[in-house]
Amino acid sequence: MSLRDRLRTQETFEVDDAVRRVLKEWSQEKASDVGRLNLARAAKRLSPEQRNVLIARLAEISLGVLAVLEKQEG
Amino acid sequence: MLGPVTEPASDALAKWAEDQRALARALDLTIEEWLDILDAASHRTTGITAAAIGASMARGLGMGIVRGLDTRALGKRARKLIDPTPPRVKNPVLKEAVRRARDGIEVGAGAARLRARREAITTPRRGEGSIGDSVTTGTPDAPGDDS
Repeated sequence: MSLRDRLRTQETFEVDDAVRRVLKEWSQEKASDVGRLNLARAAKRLSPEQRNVLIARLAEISLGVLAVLEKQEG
Repeated sequence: MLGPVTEPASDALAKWAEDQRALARALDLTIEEWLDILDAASHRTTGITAAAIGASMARGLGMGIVRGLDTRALGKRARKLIDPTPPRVKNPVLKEAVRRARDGIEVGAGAARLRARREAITTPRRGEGSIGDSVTTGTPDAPGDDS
C-alpha cells in the first residue's frame, strides 16, 4: 500500500513548512536536553494549529520508534 | 543483523519511556495529556506506519516492521511503559505531581537524600576567642557573668 495514496489511507502527509523545520531540527538531537529545549522554544513560536500538528507528528514518531524497539526486543 | 543500535532492548524501552516524559515536559504538557495524545495517535495507522518505517531505516533495519503492526496495542504498551503505576489520586495536579516526583527517584531514595543532606551540613561551633567586651554581659537569654 502506498503511504501517499489518499484514496486508500484517507490521510495525507502535508505538513506545514514551519512544523517540518521544527521536526527536522529536533530529529538531530532528540534524546538530549538541548534538543528538547530547542523544541520547546520552537513550539512556542508556532501557531496553535501548527503546534497541534507538531504534537500529533511527535506522537506518531514516538510510537513508530516504540514499534521498532519492540520488534528488536523480539 | 540489528544495525547500529547497541544498547539492550529493555534498557532502550526504559530510555524511550524516560524520553517520552521529558518530551511531554518540553512541550508543556502533563504526562496525562501526552498519554491521551499517544492514544489518539495510535488510531492513525498510516502516520505510525510511516514513522515506524523511518525509524526502522534509521537503524539499518528493513521494512519488515510494518508486518503485523498493531498500532492500538502499541498505544496501550506506550501507556504502560510511560506510566507503569498510574497514581490513584483523582486531582489532575496531584496526579501530575506524583508522576513527576517518581522521575529518577527510586524507592527509599528520598530518605537517602535527606541523610546525605544532613551529613553535608556541619554543626556550627563557637569560636575559642572572645567576640567582644559585651560577651559576658547578661541578656534575657543568658545571665552573663555579672549576675
